[in-house]
Amino acid sequence: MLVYLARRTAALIAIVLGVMALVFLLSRTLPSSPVEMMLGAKPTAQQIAQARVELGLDRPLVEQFARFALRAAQGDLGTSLRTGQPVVTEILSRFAATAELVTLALLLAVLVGVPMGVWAAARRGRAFDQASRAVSVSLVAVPVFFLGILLQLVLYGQLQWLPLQGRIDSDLMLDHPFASVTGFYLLDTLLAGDLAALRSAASHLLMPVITLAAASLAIIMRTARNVMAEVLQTDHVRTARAYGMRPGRLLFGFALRAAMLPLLTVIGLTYGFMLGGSVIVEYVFDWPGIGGYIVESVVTNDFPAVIGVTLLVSSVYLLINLVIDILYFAMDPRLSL
Amino acid sequence: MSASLTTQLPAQAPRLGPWLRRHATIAWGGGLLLAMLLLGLAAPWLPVADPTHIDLALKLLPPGTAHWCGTDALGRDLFAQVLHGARISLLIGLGVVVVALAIGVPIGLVAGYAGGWVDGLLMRLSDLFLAFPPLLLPIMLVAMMGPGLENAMLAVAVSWFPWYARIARAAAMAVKAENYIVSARAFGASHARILFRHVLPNSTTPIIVQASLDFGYAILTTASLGFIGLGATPPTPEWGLMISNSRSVFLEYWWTAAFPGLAIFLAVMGANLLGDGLRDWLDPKFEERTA
Amino acid sequence: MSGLTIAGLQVAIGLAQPLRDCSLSVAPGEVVGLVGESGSGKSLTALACLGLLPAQARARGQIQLGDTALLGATESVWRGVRGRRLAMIFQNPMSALNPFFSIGRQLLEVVGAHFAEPRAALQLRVRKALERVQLDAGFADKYPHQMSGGQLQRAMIAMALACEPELLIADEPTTALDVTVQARIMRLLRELTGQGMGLLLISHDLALVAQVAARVYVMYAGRTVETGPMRELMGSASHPYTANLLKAQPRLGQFQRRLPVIEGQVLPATSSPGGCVFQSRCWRATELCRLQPPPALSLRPLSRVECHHPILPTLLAKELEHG
Repeated sequence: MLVYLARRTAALIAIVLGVMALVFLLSRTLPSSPVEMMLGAKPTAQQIAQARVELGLDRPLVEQFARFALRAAQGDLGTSLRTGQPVVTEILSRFAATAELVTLALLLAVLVGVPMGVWAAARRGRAFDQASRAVSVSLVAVPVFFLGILLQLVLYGQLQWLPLQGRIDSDLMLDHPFASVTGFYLLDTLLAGDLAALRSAASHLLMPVITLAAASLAIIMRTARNVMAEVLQTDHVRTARAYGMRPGRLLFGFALRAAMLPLLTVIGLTYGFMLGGSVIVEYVFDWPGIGGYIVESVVTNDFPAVIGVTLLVSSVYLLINLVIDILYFAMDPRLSL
Repeated sequence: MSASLTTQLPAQAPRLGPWLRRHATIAWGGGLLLAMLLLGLAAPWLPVADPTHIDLALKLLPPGTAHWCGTDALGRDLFAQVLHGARISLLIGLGVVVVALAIGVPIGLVAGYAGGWVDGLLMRLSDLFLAFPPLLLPIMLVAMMGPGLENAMLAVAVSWFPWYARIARAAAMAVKAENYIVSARAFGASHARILFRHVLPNSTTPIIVQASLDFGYAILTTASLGFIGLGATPPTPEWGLMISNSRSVFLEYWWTAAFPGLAIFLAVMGANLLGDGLRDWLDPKFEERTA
Repeated sequence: MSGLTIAGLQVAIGLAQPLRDCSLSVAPGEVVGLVGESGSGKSLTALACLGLLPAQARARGQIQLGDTALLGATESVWRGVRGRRLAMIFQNPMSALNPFFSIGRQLLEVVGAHFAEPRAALQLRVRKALERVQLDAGFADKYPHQMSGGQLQRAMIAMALACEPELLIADEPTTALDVTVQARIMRLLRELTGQGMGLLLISHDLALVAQVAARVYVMYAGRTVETGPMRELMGSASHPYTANLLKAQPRLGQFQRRLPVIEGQVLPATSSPGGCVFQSRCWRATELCRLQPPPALSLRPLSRVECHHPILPTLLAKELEHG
């Protein structure tokens, strides 16, 4: 087990380095003028010349990359052109907002998708199975941004049940601010005992979370259904039935355990989808997270910020994939024992 | 993601009617897509309004007899925009898949056929492109290349090619071991010839399956890029861009967002159905739907 | 202890009729064999007894365990029967147990489902069951992939015994195992049945069944074509199919130039013959056999054969000649 861990960690570091190299290479070759991109709008010839020396653009590429990688390893991912702040600081300040959104969406997709998929497998071929398949196929075809807009149209525009955007009612924040312990508004308001703020935070979370979770829920539900349908045909499930195991326990305690592995892989994949989807959802709902930051940076040509964010988010993505791989390994007694 | 490598497309064309009825998903999906594509392609010649014609006097009209889908904030006819958008979105989606194929398949074929360090190197390199969460790499690439529909298409294609490289590589590795390859070499066939005449045809089936499954997602992704302003530029009537334009008014004027959104939904649904149907037809081992 | 009675069991799946007419009985505590080649319907019979037929199967007839009717029983009836009164062990022990749980855990799960006792008492039951099959306590923590085929089958038998059922159905329990391991399992089964539990042993191997069974049923093409006491049947079979089975058993030390085979192929489940199911492969078949289903004859006590021209036991034949 430890050997596996060591091997995978080494591989992770190698890939992160590779990604940095790729991003670096692309940033130097793709834009028509990398210097202008790094400096922002229309610099003077003198500024350009100065930057060339500063950024070491006259040095060989390999040396440039080495400096770049070294700085990155020390936590310096450049400075935002818009705000002048280090990119890392800006990302960290927005991290909690995205984390709350993605975590809740993942929980929703898994906690609703898996049981529904299991149920569909148990009622294979019958009405619920067919219906869930139709819903699943449809949800996957709806663009994330359109779903968000539809929800806004109906739940805010027509019915006025939920707020349009943002994380929390700004008036509320001014009236009774609460301490930011975790950065997760749901937890922080709960800890502060501030029920009004809790309600506001929750109602603001509802639409973005549903929008982000929808497509993933559909995929998880379908995968759970397919994997369970196979597991239910296996010999060991037949044995359990032959010995009188109750259907509920059989499905969720016994068979699901066998289905966990492939399901875990898909959950890992959908987590990746959500990271990408969060960019769009945050844009639609004006959510102050990393996704929104990416869009802002791109649209305002804040080149260093774009590169910095891409590197950081990709590293986190790779790290989580590693965690999932390790979980996978640990959960299969045939591999780990 | 895998498909049978030895299934070939049927040698003789079956009778169309009963065949379509049996493969209903291909029929419906393909039909839907085909309809949209034809309409989109024919759009410039159809008797609809000019999608770029601005007339502020006509702005934000609800759907009615004069304007089937209403008008947007600049008075442009939405139906015309949606129709023209069909051409753009479908062709761009196709372009994404084709370019991803064009990059990925040769890389995969060479990697699988050559083996050894060439294989290792090529696969490691292409795996780097998979290290990014979806959408992030296209966004970064567009940021570097500048906005525009072609750039968006290239960016998405570049982030997808590794999937096709993997499929092509698997096919190449499977075929490489076959006896007829060895005999072809014995007769002096060059590597290139073997790759082209023997290996490539064997990999077409799984590639077609993957491509058709990806087509819908290609449409979605380019629309998403258009939505956040990184794809099509105004005044191009691209569906994602149209929804983006509607953001200031859609709460009171629902049609400005609903119709382009519906169009995307139908196109992606059609593509997904077609992809699923093709996969079921061409991959006999895939038994997802057993009653 | 209850006995098992199956009367006129028929199972249809789609257009096929894999079980045409099966009738057998196992008295309380008795060891009975069910012999037939693959496709004869013997496994389906076992599955029907536990209500484990595939969803699309349609079953008709009667299955009684004591005074409980099993065919078409409700879920609550089954929960009281499966594992508790009627237990089954399957052919392939490697896949019959869940690879993700230790066998101790799986056994605990089974006893927990049937006995409302505190955990300590349940664990004692599990330990006792493992002891009976000569697996020491350490095996409780092992996972299936860490055990051999023979050990796994013994674990399965332990699971079957853990709830002290009245009858055990063993479907090809040794087919997937080595010959030496086979002997060990058979010995174990013999011991266990000596303690009062009934056993229905299903196999294609007549010789194997002969080691333990007092009576045997022979199945062909979904019908029970012959039954009788073990010794008598081995000595002189009445049904031509059984006779062929006996002849086809290779015997150690006996040199045979060509192994005898039964010509022809098993009747497919989708065909519905008018006459005898075996007639196309039978050397004694006549036109009557082709046209009319054979009657069920009872030539000797406790035996029954479905045949127009049964092979009469020599003594009886001689008597008929003279008398």
